[in-house]
Amino acid sequence: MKVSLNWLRDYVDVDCSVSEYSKLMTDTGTKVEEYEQLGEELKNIYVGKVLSVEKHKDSDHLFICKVDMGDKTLQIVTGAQNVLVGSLVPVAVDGAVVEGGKKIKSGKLRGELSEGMLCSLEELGLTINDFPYAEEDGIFLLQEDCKPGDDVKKVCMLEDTVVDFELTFNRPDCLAMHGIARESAVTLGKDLRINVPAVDDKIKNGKISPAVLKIDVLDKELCPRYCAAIIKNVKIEPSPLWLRSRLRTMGVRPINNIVDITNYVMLEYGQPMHAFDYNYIGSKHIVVRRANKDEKITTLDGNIRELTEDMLVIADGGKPVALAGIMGGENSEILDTTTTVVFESANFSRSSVRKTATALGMRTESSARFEKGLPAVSAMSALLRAIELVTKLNAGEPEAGIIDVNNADISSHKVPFEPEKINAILGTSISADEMERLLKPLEIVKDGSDPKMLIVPPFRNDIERTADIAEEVARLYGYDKIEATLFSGAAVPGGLTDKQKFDTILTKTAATLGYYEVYTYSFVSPAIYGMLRYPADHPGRSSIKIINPLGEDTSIMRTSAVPSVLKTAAYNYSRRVEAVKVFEHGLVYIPDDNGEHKENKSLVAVAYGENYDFYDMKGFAEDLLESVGVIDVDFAAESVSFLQPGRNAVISVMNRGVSVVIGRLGQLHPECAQEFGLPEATFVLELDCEVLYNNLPTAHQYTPLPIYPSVSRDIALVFGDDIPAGDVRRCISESGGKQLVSVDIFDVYKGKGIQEGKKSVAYSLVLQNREKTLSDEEADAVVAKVLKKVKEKYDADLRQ
Amino acid sequence: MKEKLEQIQKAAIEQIVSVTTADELEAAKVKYLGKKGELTAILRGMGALTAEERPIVGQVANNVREAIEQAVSDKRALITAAEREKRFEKDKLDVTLPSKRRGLGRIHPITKTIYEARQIFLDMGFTIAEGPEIELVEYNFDALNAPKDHPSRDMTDTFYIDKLTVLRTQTSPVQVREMRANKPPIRIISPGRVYRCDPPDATHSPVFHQLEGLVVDKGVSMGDLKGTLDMFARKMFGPETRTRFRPHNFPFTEPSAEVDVSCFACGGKGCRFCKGEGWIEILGAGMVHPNVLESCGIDSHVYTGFAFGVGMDRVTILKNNIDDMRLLFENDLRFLSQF
Repeated sequence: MKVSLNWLRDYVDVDCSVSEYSKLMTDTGTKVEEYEQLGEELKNIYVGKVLSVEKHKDSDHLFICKVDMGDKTLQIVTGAQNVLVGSLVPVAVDGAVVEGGKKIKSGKLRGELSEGMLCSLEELGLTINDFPYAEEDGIFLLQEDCKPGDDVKKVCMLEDTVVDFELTFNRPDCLAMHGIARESAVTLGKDLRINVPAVDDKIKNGKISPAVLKIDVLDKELCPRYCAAIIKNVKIEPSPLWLRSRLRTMGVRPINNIVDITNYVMLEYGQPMHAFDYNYIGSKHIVVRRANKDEKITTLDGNIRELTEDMLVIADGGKPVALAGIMGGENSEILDTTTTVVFESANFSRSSVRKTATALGMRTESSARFEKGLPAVSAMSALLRAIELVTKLNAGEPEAGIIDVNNADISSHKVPFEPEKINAILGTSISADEMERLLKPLEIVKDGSDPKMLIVPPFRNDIERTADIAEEVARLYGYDKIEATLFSGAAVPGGLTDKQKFDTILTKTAATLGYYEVYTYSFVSPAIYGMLRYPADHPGRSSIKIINPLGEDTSIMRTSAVPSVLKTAAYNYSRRVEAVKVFEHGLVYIPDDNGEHKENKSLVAVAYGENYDFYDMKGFAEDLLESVGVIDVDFAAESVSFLQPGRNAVISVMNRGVSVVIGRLGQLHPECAQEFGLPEATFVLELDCEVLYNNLPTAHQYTPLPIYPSVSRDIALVFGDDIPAGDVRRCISESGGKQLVSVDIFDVYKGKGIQEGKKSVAYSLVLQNREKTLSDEEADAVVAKVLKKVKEKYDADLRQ
Repeated sequence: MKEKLEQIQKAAIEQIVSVTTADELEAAKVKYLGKKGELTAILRGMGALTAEERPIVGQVANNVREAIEQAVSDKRALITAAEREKRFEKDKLDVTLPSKRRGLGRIHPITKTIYEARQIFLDMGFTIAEGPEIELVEYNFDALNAPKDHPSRDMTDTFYIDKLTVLRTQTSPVQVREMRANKPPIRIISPGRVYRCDPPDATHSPVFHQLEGLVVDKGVSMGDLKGTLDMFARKMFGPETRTRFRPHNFPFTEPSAEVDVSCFACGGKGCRFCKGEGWIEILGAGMVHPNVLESCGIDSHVYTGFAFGVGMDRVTILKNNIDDMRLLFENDLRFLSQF
């Protein structure tokens, strides 16, 4: 809401600086976004009276004027054609600054001295709407009451301060000068001057015959109140300068006296109004009703609007003449030829206006106010103010009588006055008297008949209960005066849950191991299914869709974070980052059959560059898993759609004898690499953290350190190249018995000395007995048992 | 014989002092103390002495041996030290050459902010509550007292999955879930991801992060809210930080406040960073609206509470002077490596 400080001073004395004013208003809850000093830029522009106009000797389009500036006469060369002897003109003298910051200096034009410049509207930052009598392309010939030497900024009312308030949803009453004035008065501790419109009793109390104008409100719910008045013998002309200047300051374009009055009243009272040309209201009958099916209206902006049956219109005997609370119709527009006007000042349902405005994609000053909810009481006061202004501007003759179709409750409402509770909420000890004193200028006063109640004015619909009164008290008492304390109360055990600790460890470990955490959007494109080569029946293809996404590429909730992290890696690859190790530890969104969904944590890592290979990623996975206590992990060669066949593995852990898949890793499939724009040697890890968390090994118990020394045995086994060395390792481990404490692979060899199709894998076995020192014979017996088993199962021989 | 011994001692020590290498020292040691050494020879001749002389000379001989051994040991220490010095010189490294590092990664700057912020509240006895991002309209709006026609419910503001389900626009629905599931005293924070229909630009993102806080108990006041947030601000932004509470309006709190902290770039004097204001807006807060308490089955006549929400992305941007919000989601490693 933009507010003219000049206008505001009609109601309240604002005698501090605008920056001080802004700070004080912000402190009491009417936040000032910014303020602007209008006319500040313009300097040294004065009224001059043209004494003579002569043609320039050396030019066929320039004129030399002598201009009386009051205390001196200046010679000014101009190209304008419309300057006549006797014209009063704005003169930018030597050292002046005009609109746009342009400086004016004395100089010579084709040899003739020019001591300044005659200004057009544009050079004053004005348009033809601000001064309708001016010529658009020529020098601005002033018709204001002024004399040579007067400051043009004063004469044309160009100086003002515009304060832009950021208003909250609960204060529609502040979308009006009166509302801002009330808050200003309360804030500054000044008196508020809001006058009741002075309208002749004959007009107020007269009756308009139904033959002259009949009003029927068919939908009382959507239109709780409809007030109207008639103005005869209207003389359409520009409004006076003071009114135009105020509208301009508030960002409203002046049009003509009648329309300007409706806008002025809207800005002043917050109550939107409309003016119809009486002669174009068919049957002299106004009907407030819902639109008929297939009905249309051409609104004042020239657009044809197709209406639906839930939209409220103002109609005459036949056709709609306005969209209720949003915009008038072209068919009843105020024109220069208008002689009789109907003023409408009504109250419309906020949700109806909002829905209609949204459906038609229109948002006007009027609809914006109705949408926030206006008190029905202001419909009448605004109408009276409009009538008062008509008289003041001599714009026409108000017809005796006002029509008021009122179905709204316009009484004040009451809320309990509970000072103790207010102090408890705020943590203050403000006396009841002090609270009363703070509330009074807001027009919230103690009920004379019941001192336990407060009467709230109708324009404060937002105040419903004690908590609301507490806020009013607090903001006027000063939020800064509320003492900061620390709550006591029962002790609550704080801290992270086990799951939160688990999540934190994974994130921190991944970063410690050299990977960069990334954040990507949770919504992705449906195209990612294909990019990941998901088969048609892949469960990941079933995702939650957003009805109103920003775009197709952010329209579904991801079921896997793999594409997002691949894109991140590709983003860096395209920026020539040579080596990338990134991970995201975020959510995926999995719908279930019951129309519900799960949000599961997933950790996806992607890496390429610096000779990064499969085993780097596998090692990363193992380190990560070990950080959360998972040591016994199985990697099995299984196909994954987005990974290269033969270089992919499914990761699983054992839980109570059952193998549970917790993730997958491998080299990116070349097709995916191409699709995402990544090098072929890109590696991916995806861990399903929820599954992992639910299958963590039970709490680790301490094992006493062995007393007796261990024995090592290295064996090299030769077996089929197709057999995973890990499978054989597991076989050794399982067949070695209790005394075999660990088996590790330390070398793989193929080639000379080893039969084609076979490989030699070296295993390092550590044997130990907890009760005694293991003898060589006993160790050899274990190895023999192992060799027998691997021969049976894998046809593995000891390498010779 | 005593004189003889003293002569040996003198000669031996002179020689030992004069040697320069470990080998020469060893040779000297052998010469005097070895099996065929001079001192040994003398001692062998002790048998010829009388019973009275023997202990006296023996004593002298032992003294001489000890003195020589001490000299050898001292000299050895000197030689070892000198040789070590030489090796040090030879083994000298250029310490400015690059190291062998696997290199650390980084947690994301927003994670960093969240960890910092949550730790402050964990230390104050808060727990962390979590709620779904795909949330019911009931929790995201209705139970939070949002008017049916509040613009925040619009399809232009909120992502909808269906009529009853949205991508949560705030972490506040976690408050509702918490209050419906647990009886007071409640003291939780809830950091998490939220969504609004804002196309990404320098200051907007359709995805961002908030940290919600909620305290409900008997006798909780706005003063407590101020105290809690003052402490948070001082720990998060430095001990000199001050807060400013400005009246505001949120549907789910009454009274409501916007909270500014004194500018951490200029300390509140006003600079380019805070646009001359001296204050930076960082938080929304207030006393939990009685309607919200009641909608969660908590008697608002018995219990009061306060709630607050902080934008984690905003704090991250402000603390690090990041000029474009999109950087947080582009994940350019050259950006991420700066944190």
